[in-house]
Amino acid sequence: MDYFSLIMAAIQLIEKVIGDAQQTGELTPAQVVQLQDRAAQVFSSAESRTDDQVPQSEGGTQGG
Amino acid sequence: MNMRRADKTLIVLAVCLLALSCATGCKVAPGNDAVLVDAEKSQAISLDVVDALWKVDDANRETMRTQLPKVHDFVEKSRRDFPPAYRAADDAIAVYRAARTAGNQSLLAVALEKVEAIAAEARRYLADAKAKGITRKAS
Repeated sequence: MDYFSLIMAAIQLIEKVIGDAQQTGELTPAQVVQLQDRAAQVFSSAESRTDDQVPQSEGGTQGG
Repeated sequence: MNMRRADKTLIVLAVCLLALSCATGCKVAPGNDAVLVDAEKSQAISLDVVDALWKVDDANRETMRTQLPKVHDFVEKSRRDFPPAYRAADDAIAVYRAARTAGNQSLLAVALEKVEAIAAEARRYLADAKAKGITRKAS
């Protein structure tokens, strides 16, 4: 990896860190709804992926 | 000291960005409630961390069971426990947003504590999975 690529990678990483930490204000109502929607999506997927709900072909049954 | 120019540039850049990160990341904008900002931030980050671990486990279910059974058990448990804890914290945030009293702040702190505890454990287990070379892509 050359220096330019290294510097670009470092900048991208730090930009992400800054972006995550940069929320300095309360969420707007639209952002609140957006986060709730995302959580609902994540949970509906996760709750249907417990071992007892995943088909055995996907390794859903405990072997021992 | 014989440093190449590119090395110096890299170091200066890293220091500047680190300083910028501290300067921008540690403030709450004027007129905003730090309790609410921190709570919302904590919810979003916790969701990301737990979701990341769930996806790693889902993509590597058999490997997780055999190589990291403790982690897989935690994932199974958290698939059931995290959503209600998160929703309770969401409700507590809404209540606090509507009435910013000390009592509601305490209730919010209690609700968030559960979410953050699960997320902290998930973060540790993500590191364990990564250390074993188990990432989101099925291994």
